[in-house]
Amino acid sequence: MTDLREAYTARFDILKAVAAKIGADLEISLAGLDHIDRISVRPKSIDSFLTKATKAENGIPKYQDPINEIQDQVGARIIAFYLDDVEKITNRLLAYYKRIEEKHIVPESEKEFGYFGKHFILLLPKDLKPEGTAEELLPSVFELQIKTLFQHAFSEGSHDLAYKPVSPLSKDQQRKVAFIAAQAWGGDTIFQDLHNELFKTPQTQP
Amino acid sequence: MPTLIGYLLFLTLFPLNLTLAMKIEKIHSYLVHAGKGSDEQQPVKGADIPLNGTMYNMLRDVFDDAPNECKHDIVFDTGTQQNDCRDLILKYIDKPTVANGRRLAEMLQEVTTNRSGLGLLFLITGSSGARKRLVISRFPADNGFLATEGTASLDVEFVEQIFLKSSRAYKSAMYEGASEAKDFWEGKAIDRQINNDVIISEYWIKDFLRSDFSTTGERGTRTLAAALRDAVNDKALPLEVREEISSAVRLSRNLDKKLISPTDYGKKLNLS
Repeated sequence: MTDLREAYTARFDILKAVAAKIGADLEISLAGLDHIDRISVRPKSIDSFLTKATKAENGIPKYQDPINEIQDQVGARIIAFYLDDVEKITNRLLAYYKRIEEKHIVPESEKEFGYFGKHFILLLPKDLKPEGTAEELLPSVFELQIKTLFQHAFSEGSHDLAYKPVSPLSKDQQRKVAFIAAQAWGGDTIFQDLHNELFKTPQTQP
Repeated sequence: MPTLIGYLLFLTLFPLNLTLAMKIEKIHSYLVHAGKGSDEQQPVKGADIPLNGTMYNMLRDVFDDAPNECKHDIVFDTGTQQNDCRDLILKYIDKPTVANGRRLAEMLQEVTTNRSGLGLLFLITGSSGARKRLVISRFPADNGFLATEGTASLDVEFVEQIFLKSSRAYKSAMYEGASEAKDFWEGKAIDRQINNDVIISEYWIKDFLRSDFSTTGERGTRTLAAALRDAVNDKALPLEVREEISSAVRLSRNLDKKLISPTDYGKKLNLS
């Protein structure tokens, strides 16, 4: 554990430098696209990294080589206004970055409400690697999430409540979390509908 | 005086990775037929190549030169963190045996057209400390003459199935890293079969290696544009060089949507 802390602490400043480069690059790459509320990029905190690195599944450590296996040591987040914007941002993003994973996260059942979001694992482009840094200290990939304002609000607000509870949530508490998720989904859907109705150019009749 | 192409390359290329000398540990070779579209594939035969002798010396050069020779950065194509070719490469690197390499050779045969023809595939692995390297090279088959000089005569014989590295159809790829989890997503490749420096062979890089360039066209264009802008504004450069770059930038409009390397860009626009 001490070794892992030392190893991650040793690379933390490098990760900060990488995050800054990715942030600046994303600003340039997405320039001209409307409805982007914010772009944020940061390294995973030392404590968060250690918590994740020491996770176990069925009593077996989840990561055998956490320094090399954990892919979100640098995380980027793009918050957009409307659902349609997520696709536009994705298309622009993939013109500049190579992905090794793309996931559209939705609840398992159509009858459920929960977290929605688009997650990528992107290859760190060569020109964003700080010069003179040993390859061993650099991540080869980083995580990027694209969310709408409502998806972001739900995930931030519910994170500690639903995923890190002091005690398990009661059924009523679970319903309350699902209710917030449903409201967020409804907010996104209605925002998109309104935007379509008010701003989309009407089709010319033949 | 530095040449313009040299200057552009200096600005657009990134710091070279200094690679340590690696010791070759295993070499395997497979005869790969053209099998694309065939319902029945020929069995792929493989051989263990001894780590000494003339053949070894030639292959050692291929292995040692790979970091410089394979100049195009490539990445496995996937959206799910899984790629069939990468899986086979990792399996082979972990345990380099004739059997583990055969599936890679079979995969190459399945995408090899009659135009590409018969080839000899080499898988060369080596390591230095925790770092491992795999070089994959395909030598195309050719015909030739064998001339044997006797004391008073000369015997000339026609020989089929000669495999030539110097041929324009030579292809190679290199993967290097220390961690299976973190590394071996990116590699480097070269395809000498094609005239254009950058237009990658569908067959070698896309179909066989299931890969694409690491740098997207848009990113490459932006990097080159930034390098050209900096060069035009660099007062340390002679005026005629800066003017030459300005003219090249204007002519670049004719290259719209064409894939091109910095070297070919300089050649195409007749930069000094």
